[in-house]
Amino acid sequence: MSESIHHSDTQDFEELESLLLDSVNPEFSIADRDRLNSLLRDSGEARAFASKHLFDDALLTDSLSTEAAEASFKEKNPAPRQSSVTWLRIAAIVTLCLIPLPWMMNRPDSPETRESAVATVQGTNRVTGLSHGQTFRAGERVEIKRGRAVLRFASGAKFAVEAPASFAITGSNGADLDFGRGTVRVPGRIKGFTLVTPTETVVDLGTAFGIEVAESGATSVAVFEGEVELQGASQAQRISAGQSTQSAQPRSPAQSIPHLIDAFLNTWETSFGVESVSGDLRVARPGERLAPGLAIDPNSLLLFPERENVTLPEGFAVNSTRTGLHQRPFRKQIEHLTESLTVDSYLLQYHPGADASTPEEQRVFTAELRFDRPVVGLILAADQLGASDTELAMPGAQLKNITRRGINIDDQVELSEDRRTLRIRMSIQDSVDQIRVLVDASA
Amino acid sequence: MNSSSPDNSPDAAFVSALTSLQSRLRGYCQAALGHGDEAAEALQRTNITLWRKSVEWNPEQDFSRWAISIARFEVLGVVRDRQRTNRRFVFDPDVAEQMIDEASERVSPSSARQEALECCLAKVSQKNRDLLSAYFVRGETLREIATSTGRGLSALKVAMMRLRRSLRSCIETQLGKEASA
Repeated sequence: MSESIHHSDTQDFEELESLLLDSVNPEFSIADRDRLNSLLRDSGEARAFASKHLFDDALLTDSLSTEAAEASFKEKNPAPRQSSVTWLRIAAIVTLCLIPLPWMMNRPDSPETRESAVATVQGTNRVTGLSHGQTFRAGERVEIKRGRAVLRFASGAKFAVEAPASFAITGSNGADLDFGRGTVRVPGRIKGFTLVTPTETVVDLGTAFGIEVAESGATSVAVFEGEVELQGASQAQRISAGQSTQSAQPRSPAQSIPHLIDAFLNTWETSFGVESVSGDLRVARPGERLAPGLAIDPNSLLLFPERENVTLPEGFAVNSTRTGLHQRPFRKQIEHLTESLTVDSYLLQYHPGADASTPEEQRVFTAELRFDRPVVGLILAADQLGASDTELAMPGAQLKNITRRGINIDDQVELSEDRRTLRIRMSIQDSVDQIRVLVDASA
Repeated sequence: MNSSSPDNSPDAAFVSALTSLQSRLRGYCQAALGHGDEAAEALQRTNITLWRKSVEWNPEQDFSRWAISIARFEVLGVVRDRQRTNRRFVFDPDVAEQMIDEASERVSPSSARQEALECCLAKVSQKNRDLLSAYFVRGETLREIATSTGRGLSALKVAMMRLRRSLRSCIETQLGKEASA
């Protein structure tokens, strides 16, 4: 682009443009303000110019902010480099060759098992027959008779499933689901996770979706984010966020059905590593998750799963890494990470939707929240929340609209000794309360 | 037909429509009320009202027209509140009312202007992108940018105005090309 001056509006509106530029400064004088109003009051052309200028300012702010957020996201989630992966594999093989075979064979979770494992149980909730950290190789079958569990595949895809369910793991990025109900989430750039059912083949194209296979084999799919491709019929069909389908017969095209969300809320929650919630708290539904700044619920605290597998640098500022009770004031309670950590981030929010001019009666919300991995950091003050948005908020989270963040003087957040349970007490009148919870993604 | 799920949370289509209109809603509020907290407050009120009224939206209806009609009401509300409390902001109330009418002209159902802007931004030099990011993303004043970059305040202001004009010209050219294509 030629960055030269164009004379069409330069001379006529130079003073107006200068005043508009200055109007954001704290030192913008009353005389300047009066001059700006006078120019606008007297001329329709000046109003049209100013209007376009201000509108473009907003578009510029959004475009540049989104770009900055995406750049940060890409930086934190780079595509794996082939050379690194190859060297890691070679190192693993060398290590295996150096370990005596008899010792290895006697270990229940031996290096051999880990090497060939393609899926790991990341979390469980009242489940029987599965345990946290249990690994599976390709070809192994999983039966769930009670409770819920989330499996993390070697590709990074997560499959949360609830009883009763039966499926066989086909490899590092797929499974055959005979029956059962679950949520698949494929974070970051991973694609191609494939679930084969008796009547359908569902291929993820970078997404989150719910799937239910009835004992008859009929398969219902509800896409929450992104897109999936259905490959069970002669012609592939793509379905997008907000759409649901049902495939009743093998090789027949899937039919559109009313969008299903509620049936998958349990496994949606489990897929984010949330083992249990109780009290005045719920996990944000599909759709809400992507725009916490817009999600309003005067009756409940909301938990928004944010970015996953973010590597925070040594020195990253949080309000606490400690267990026990946390409450204001936080001014001098800033801790810096003493080592780099890979985390999943969660935003816990109360947003009543009331404006400050209509104060409401004070209410107390209490809740308990248990994660399947340890909490390693808490961000509780407005300044640190704002400073961590670029690293941890979802792109397009619309947090710029939230004018008051952090927690208030009467609020309490308690992290249990095992670091997996948060107890929250928030005393709320009319403002937005937010905290950010960082969970160890490598556990 | 409405856009709400059984528990009255807005559904994905509503959230998607609202999210994709955010830039233009922000633009509308800012064009009507100028830079400053008033535009942010009007946008926040608008989002809250839209969220609460999500059940009234029919997905076959033009979302942007419906949303802007609500934004207009909220912008007027902010002006009234400021008058009631005798708080002065960038625009005097009579000018704000004129600017509200003008702002309605800016919002189109399509995102063509945003797309044209992004196309033009891609052509801006890294030095100028850094200047725009400091001002528009990090919210630094020109004086703060001048201090941190060691540039003169006047020279920086001239550079910013030249950059804005080039962008404006590029956007109009881009939109013209699209219209004639």
